[in-house]
Amino acid sequence: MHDLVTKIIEGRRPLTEVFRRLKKHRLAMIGAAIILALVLIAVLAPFIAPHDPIEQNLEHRLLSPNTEYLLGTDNLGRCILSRLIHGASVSLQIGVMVVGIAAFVGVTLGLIAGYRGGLTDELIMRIVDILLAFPGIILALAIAGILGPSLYNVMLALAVIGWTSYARVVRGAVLSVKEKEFVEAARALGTGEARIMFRHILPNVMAPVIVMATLGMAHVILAAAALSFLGLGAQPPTPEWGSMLNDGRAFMRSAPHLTIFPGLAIMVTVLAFNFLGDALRDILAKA
Amino acid sequence: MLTYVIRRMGLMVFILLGVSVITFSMMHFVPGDPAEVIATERYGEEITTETIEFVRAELGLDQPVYIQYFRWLTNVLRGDLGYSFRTDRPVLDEILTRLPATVQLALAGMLVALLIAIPVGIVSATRQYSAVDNISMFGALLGVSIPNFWLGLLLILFFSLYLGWLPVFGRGGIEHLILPALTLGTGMAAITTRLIRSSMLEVLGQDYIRAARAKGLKEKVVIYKHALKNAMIPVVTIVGLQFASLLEGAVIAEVIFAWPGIGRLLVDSIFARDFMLIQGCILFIAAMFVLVNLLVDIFYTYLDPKIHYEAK
Amino acid sequence: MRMNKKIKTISLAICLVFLGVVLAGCAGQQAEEAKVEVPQEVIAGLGRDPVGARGAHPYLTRVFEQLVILDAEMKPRPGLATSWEVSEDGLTWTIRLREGVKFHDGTPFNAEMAKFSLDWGTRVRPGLLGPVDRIEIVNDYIIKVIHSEPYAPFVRSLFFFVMISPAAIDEEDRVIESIGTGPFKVEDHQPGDKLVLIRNEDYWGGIPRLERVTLRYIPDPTTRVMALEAGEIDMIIDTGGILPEQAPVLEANPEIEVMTIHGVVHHHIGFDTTTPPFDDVRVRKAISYAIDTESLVRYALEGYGTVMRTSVPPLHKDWMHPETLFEFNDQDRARELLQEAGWVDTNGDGIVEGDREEFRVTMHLAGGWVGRWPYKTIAEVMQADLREVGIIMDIEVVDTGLWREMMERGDVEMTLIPIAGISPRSAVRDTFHSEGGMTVATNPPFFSHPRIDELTEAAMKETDDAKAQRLLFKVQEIVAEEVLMIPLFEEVMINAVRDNIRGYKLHPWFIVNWEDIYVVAP
Repeated sequence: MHDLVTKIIEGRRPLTEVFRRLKKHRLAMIGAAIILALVLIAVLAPFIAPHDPIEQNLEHRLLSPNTEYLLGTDNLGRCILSRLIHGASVSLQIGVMVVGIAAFVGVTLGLIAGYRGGLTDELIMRIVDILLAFPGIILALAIAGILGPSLYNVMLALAVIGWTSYARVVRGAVLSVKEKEFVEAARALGTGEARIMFRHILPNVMAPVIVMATLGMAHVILAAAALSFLGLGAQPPTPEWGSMLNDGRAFMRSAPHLTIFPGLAIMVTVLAFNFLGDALRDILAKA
Repeated sequence: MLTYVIRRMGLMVFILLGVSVITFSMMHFVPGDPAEVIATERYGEEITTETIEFVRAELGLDQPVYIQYFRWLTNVLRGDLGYSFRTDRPVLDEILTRLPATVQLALAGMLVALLIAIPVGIVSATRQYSAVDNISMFGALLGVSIPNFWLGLLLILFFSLYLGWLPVFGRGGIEHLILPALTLGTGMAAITTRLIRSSMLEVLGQDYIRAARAKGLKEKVVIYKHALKNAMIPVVTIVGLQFASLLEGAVIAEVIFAWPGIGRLLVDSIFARDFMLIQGCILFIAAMFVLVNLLVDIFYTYLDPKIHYEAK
Repeated sequence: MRMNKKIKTISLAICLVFLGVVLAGCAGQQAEEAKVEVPQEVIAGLGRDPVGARGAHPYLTRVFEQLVILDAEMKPRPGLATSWEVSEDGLTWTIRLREGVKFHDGTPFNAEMAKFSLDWGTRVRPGLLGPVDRIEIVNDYIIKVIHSEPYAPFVRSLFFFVMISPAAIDEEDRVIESIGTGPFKVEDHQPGDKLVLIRNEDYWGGIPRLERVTLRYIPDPTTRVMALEAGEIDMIIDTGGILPEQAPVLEANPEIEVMTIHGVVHHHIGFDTTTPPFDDVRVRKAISYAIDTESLVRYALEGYGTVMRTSVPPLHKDWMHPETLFEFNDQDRARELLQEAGWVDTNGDGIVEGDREEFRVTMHLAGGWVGRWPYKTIAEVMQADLREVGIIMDIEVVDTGLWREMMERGDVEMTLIPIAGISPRSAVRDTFHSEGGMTVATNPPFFSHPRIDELTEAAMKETDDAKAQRLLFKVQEIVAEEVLMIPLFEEVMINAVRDNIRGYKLHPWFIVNWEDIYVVAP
């Protein structure tokens, strides 16, 4: 990772250049298009969903895909397509919230650790070391499992383990730009510490953070679905994809569409963020 | 080198202490009465208030938290991880009886990953931007995007029920290993493929490879004898570090395939709030993880003598 | 004693004659079956490790036996005790033990062993056998249990106490090895994976037909069912072995026989009757009318459940009030009652208001039970039912530990509660007495009713069943009149076997009759 960070920072290029290259990157465009579509679906969900996602119709339960219900119905007769459409906003919210919090905390602490050095650095980085000693999902599992099943706890757990990698990368990046001339110049002019950190150093270390955040969206959505699958996720009747999949599992033999469609939705979303993040990494890292 | 190892060992002890403090406090500051939960879990069908008080006293849960922690810690230093609340068997025994299953599964998953990753990675690198390369890079992204719990279920549905080729669950002969290993190995195969590809590309661009080619060596010799060897160095590191994600994946694979390993032990004990066992498992997993990282680093120095570690 | 032997000889003779007739009757079939030697081994899957903190699970493995067993109607029958009687004052129980029984390690079972086992049992599970003062050995095969005050459910409570060899226990009362008297003994145990049992050739009840039983712990219910379908396991046993949602697929499979029985657990809605809105009996009654229990059972349980009409389940039929005390599924009546209680939809949004506030409540579910029973689905169906009469019900699943704490603090407005109990007396007391006790659930401090306290206490001491039943009828009437809880359904336990497995009979408390099971050619 550190190699990559240096590469990204060294190869810093203007935004227009990045966009130009992104536009030529086919997978990145596919990913971006899917993400845009998902955001639209999430925002417009109440208008485009053919049915109410939580309305039960017990006479129409476990229907296979048909013209009335394009993706069939679940065990309570709810329209699976409508639930998937409404679920898009749930998954995106989880992703944005967790990545947002993790990135904010991680970047801030990474900046402080890298800039201040000394005891502060030692303290922050040792906490990072400890948290990184747990395989991620296992710690999240423990946190969410012990605090009880809820979407909120899942997000909390994922944010608690998520910030460490941002802190690590940002700290490394800060160390490499801290001695650069423009920082020295700012310091010589008597600029305040906070201002140097956030106005001068931060913009220079944002590139790897953006790559990590994009890939992080993919990772977080997948991890949240995995925790939901283990029974630690969203509360009913929230149409969350991971818990839809988990609830549908008992019907896997009689009505496999309850399992297959939410799984596909998760996969496509994760894939889109991976396409985009991967392309960003390639473009930003290539000197 | 020696000072480096000693320093790392010291850090390891510190990390494990931190891990134990975190898990311990997490366990003890959560809402709910553990004695009651344990009593219900242990006796299930019918419990009385006396039973709960009995459990509380028996497990020392009536003591202040820091006393509980220090008692636990001194016992751990003596190699005693305590007894599982739920099964009343020693925690270390519980973990050690399941260790072989998890190691077996992790190795099988790694094997699957390498069997896919090495050939695909090499071919992709030698034919950069070809159709093969594009397809395999697309496949690699797909591999990391597919939810492994979903994949596992689909594999069972298809290979065990529709085709009847492979068993649904459990540990046994080699045929029992295939589906869990595939479930576990897919994500890692994807990551490793990309890594081998980029590592190979880097090496293939180096001067000595160009020199070898200029000398008129056969392309096969250049790739397999010169490039591959050097490209494998970073791969070894990552494969070692992948150990963590293998453990994560093992939790899911073990739950789906009823594989009697540590991952499932941890999930079971979390749901049963078997605190001693949760603590023991997490400490054990963290220790294993930190140790593997250390070994990988040492191995890395051995492979590549250019790298020197100095104690700062 | 001699009399006993004579009776035994005679009954044996009768049995032999009967067997002869039966054998002659199906001689043709017998000959065919005899051609193929079918190995008498089965593999059973279940959702928990059959070896727990107190050794092998007595009912699932039958490694251990109790003094008293419960039959399929939950009535006490002789186990390792052959008879029992209580003294006039209800304090002293005299128990006669079965003779000629040996533990798996060869130790003979007698009064000393029975006292040892009960002493150990009351140490590790205090309170469950009632207020025991002391246990005395009268002679080799008679013991006395003396209580400090009468405890009527005593005989049923004996079902929870296994007879264990002293060699099986260490000085800290831990079970180090499972050594009992049962028809099967432990051959091998892989924790978290499997338990292998082999038959006890010296079993007092005759040699079991099966030679070997392997119990596989398969935690995921979907995997469990698929393993049965694929023929990797021969049976699925235990409560919750098969979820209702999975049963239809198995029912359709000609190679698999699905079996059901009333389970020991029944489920209720509990309310906090001390705070609004549920402090009004009309509102509570409206809830019961709003809910359609029939469709709840049909859709949330796929029909695998029995609607209840009083708070005691059909399983304890002698203890169940003869009349229908609870009525459901009458939405007009529900709306009327809500209106009477001051809840009317004034702004036409479909939600009723009272004092300008919407009727909105939260149902808290305990996380541990959501995994065991389809509570989420049930709550979701109820959510839709209540919405029909203008009530918004939110659902929140919290960790079981937190749920208990919230219950104690009075932070729960409404919840679902599972109730189980071998003894109807203690089940009713634990559920409705203000000080409660425990069954599967803590008794919620949702109400305190002095008359119920009185009646249940009297029932606990009343050793005459008929009299105790009348006391509990009265309790059921009060519960229904005041709608202190709403009984929803009695659960049905679902198991399944492949079609070459014969002789398995389901038991509500998931006891497996391993000694009767055998395998025929597929």
